[in-house]
Amino acid sequence: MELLEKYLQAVKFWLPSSQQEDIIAELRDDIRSQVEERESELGRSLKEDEWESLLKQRGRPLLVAEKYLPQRSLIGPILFPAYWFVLKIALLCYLLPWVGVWIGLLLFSPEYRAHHLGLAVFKDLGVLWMNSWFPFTVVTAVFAVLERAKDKNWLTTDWSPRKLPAVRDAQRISRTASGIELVANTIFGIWWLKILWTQTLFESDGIKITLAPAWHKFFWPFFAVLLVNTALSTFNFIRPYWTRQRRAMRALSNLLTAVTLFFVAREFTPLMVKAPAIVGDRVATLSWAVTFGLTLSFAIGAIICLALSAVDTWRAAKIQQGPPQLSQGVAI
Amino acid sequence: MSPGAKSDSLLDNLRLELRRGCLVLAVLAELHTEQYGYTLRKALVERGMEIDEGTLYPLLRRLESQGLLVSEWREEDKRNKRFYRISREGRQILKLLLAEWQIIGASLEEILEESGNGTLRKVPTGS
Repeated sequence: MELLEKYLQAVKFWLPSSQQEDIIAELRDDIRSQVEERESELGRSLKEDEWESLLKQRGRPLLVAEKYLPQRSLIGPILFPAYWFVLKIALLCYLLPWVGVWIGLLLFSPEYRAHHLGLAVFKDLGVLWMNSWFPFTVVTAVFAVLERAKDKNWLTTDWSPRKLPAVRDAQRISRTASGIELVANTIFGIWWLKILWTQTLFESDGIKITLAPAWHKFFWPFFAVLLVNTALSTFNFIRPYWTRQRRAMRALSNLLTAVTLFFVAREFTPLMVKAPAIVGDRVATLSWAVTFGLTLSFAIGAIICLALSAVDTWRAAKIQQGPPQLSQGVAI
Repeated sequence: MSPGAKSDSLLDNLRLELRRGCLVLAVLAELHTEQYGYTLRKALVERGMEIDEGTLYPLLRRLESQGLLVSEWREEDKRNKRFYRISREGRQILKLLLAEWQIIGASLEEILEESGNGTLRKVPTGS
């Protein structure tokens, strides 16, 4: 009997206080009825191990109590797919740049590498873990509030098939995107080539930042990258449809960009800063800081281009001849 | 998990789903005569309607909160027991549910006959 009371007490703990006594009284009666029946079959009282086996058969107290409780969830099945989608996007946008910068620093900054390898990696992983908690908590909290919003009518009634996103062919290239890419490529490319040619990065108010002569050798590779990218963007603008060859060309162009950026970052050629107003070691510090910032940007750029090249290769392999495939549009 | 075990587990889940709706009918029908939980469960099991305590008692409470059952605590055999019986509203609902049940049965019968999968009275077994 002691086992029975222990069991009932454990079940009671999980029940809502307003129903505890009622449910426990009924459960006690049910178990005792079962025991009485068993005892009359056996012609004797139940032994302790028989009690134990009978109660085990009833189930763990938490699971028994759970069946009396209303079904509750932080985010219900209706909102869960949207929650999962937003969570993935948030984590990707928040963590990927962090990881990219971290890898870039480890690869291209000997000083950073010296302080962040070995056991110090765990410290960085701790920071990464804390950084993941922030978007996770915010997204979960927002969806939990939405879940509890009383009026979910907009989800079930306030919608129209007409308002759903237009059907989009997954292989169709947006002309707007190609146009923006073409303009940005041209403007940025010419600006950067001019810098490589004149070797002057910045000149204003007596401060002049110039590239070392070693940078000059990167002029022609960057020129080639600019030509290829501009040609591809132009072609995409005129014939806005992905083919396997076009995807492969895009993969190749991204790979070419990644390789060029990698070699620039690896060179780590210091920039020269002339600033009469700044004296002594501070000029050297400024020069190092600008060089480091630029090198880091190239390193991150190289990693991103490499990733894009891999994605384009994968997409090129996936393109099938036949009926067009629908893209995955976001719609609620 | 072996394919056999997976198939058994799938069958168990589907069977549970299939039975869940029928349990309400069975409980309402059985409670035309007043009973307490333990005897009700035994009566259902004897008629081939397996149900465990963890399912029956929450179901009884839910049906009572929906007004389909009424209950009262009473002493019997020197022990307090909670007796349940179907309410007036429960009878009306049961009538409607049974009509629905017959429609579902007839539809299923027709589907099974047309698809050559036997009938509800005789479903082919084995492979």
